[in-house]
Amino acid sequence: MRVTQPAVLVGPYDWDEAVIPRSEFEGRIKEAWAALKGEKFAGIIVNGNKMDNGALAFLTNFTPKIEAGYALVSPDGAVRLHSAGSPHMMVNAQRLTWVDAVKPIRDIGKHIAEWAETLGEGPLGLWATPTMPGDLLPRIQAALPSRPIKDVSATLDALMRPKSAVAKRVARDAAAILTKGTAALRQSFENNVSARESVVAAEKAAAAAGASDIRMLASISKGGTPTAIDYPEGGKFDPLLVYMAVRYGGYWADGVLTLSSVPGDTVKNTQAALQAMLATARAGVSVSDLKKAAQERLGGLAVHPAAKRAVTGVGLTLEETEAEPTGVSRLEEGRIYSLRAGAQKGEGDAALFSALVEVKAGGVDILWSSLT
Amino acid sequence: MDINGRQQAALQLMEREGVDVLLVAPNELSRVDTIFHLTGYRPVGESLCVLSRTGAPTLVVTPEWEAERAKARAKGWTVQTAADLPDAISALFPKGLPSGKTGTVNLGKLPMAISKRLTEFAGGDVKKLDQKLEAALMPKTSIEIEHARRATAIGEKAFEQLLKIAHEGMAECDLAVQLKLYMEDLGADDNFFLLTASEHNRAVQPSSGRKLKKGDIILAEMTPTYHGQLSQICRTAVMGPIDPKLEEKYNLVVRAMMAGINTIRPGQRMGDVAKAIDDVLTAEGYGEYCHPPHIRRRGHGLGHGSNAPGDVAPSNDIILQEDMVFVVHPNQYLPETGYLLCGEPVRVTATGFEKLSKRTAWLASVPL
Repeated sequence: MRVTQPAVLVGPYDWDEAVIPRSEFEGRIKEAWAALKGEKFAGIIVNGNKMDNGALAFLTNFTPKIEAGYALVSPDGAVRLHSAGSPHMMVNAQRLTWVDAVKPIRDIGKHIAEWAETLGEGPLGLWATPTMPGDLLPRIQAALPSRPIKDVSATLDALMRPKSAVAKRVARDAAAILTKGTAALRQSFENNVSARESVVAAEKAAAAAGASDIRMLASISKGGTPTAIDYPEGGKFDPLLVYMAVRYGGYWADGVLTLSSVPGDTVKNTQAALQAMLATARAGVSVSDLKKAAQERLGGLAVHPAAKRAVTGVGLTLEETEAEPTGVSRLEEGRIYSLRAGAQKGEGDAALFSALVEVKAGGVDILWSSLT
Repeated sequence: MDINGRQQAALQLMEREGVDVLLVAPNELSRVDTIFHLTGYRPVGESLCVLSRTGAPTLVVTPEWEAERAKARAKGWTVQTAADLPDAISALFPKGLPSGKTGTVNLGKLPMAISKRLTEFAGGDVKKLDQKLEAALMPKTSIEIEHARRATAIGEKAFEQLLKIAHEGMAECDLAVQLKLYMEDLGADDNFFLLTASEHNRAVQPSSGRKLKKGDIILAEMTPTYHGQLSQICRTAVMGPIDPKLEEKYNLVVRAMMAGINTIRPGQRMGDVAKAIDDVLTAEGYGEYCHPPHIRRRGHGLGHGSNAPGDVAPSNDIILQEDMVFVVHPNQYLPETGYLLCGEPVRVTATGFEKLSKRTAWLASVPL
């Protein structure tokens, strides 16, 4: 789900070789060049920012805690990294990555042009985040009048979808943190505290468990769609719908759940719908088949607007980009997905449930579920 | 000024510029001054305000499920949810936007694909009013000023908490996360929070996994938001006993800060606030440290982001007006001590200034 973006990332993002070894990143850089080998690119520009940094994290572990960052990747695998901040701020920026000598961004067009001087002939590939501002590429291109820049995001985004053994391990660690966070959330709800207090309790539990980032949305009315917590005052809502996402080692785990002291048909039918999706899910199953399985258990209830996208790929971003613009069409083995079911009957009567799964040939491993 | 007055200010700008329709995008998704300041709503996804000199103001938000909060926050606005922002804007203007009479704000800050489609739809003869709208929306509303006071109080309590919980061996970012959550408990909804420590700091930075040690100087730039309004205090604490020479230098930086603050009044040039700070430090022999790379600015505006009235910097010619809110922070590097942080948020009053913090920065000690 879309979440509010904090002004600055505060949590632990330093690169830890014990979590993701350098060899993993070096292998990914080779994969990226292999994916582009038909087109004779001279280098790859990788863009990320504090909101969206999947590609940067995939190759370098670097997550910009403020503003933006760029990795400039040469065909021999050498990487230059530029980060927002003054030269004196590079001390902590350096800790975020295995790449040596992180440099500050002064004029990114000029930095890229200087780097391009060291490269051979050919265009530069641009691996951009979807949130890259519209006015940025023209500025970069203006600094490189004789060097074409081609968007290679669609080709390279595909590398992030199937998860390596290392990525799966880290994603499971993230899911374990999510479990602790949502357990605290449930406990707080049972203690009859406000929605805001429940959310903060969940955040504290996830932070204590090692989350580098936590994003939460919650109802602002009884049964309301989870949304940004932009209010300081407390309100108690039953049912309370909550979305929680945690990040660890760059990988996200997310889920949505409905807390209700007296579960009605909407809650029960939605739980059954998610259960049906989980029973149907396996490699090769289409999303339309999953939706059909869910729909049969909703008992005629309307699908919740936040569950219209029933399946999203989860990894270094909360919503992985897909080969097709409409999103995930078919479950693929080795990927991690969030499966979501939701229904609403009327004002205040709504439910959302989800599960985070790793897809295998004959079914799924459930990494986290709001049914348990 | 209240939020309706702010909308009126935007309409007056449109009239001055000969613009019938104004499309206003956020500065970026994490610094949404324009939309938040116009409507009171902080977007989750790409959103756009549509102001018309003849019709009702419309707020178009994505994703579709954001309707409830958008309607609750953006009072007086027609709220429309959309799956696709450019499609929704096109649908609002089936005959296209008025040629030569359309203004835009921050369309280039939207994500590339959306920005391209909206820019094409707006056409080539639009007036870009990014800077002019920001200037028109500069003064804070009375509610925002009260929120800035509340945010300041949260920051001050958080620094007291820092002095209680910081300990040797604790990672900077663990301290920062605990304090951020503490501020959330107190009502903060976001935080531009930088916290770093070293025996000799060169800058304040986003926190890392570095472990705190005895003798470290902790720099904390605490910037909680309360109902979306930022405030900021800048503080310094020593892990353990304070060296008297360090305290002497810290007091000099506080004196320089107060010299700047004491010049604040309506009609004053912002650049002269920075000059008053530099004058004190220069007189003590630190003139060469009053320029880049050691220091770029002595503070900045406090909105939902660091914007109007801009930087407290010698080059800023903005004339201060009543109800502008900004932070004055010398944040000075001195060769003997390293970088030291002190900063107070202020409001320009009719006759001078109101310091929003209760206690002025002091060199604090974390008991070990």
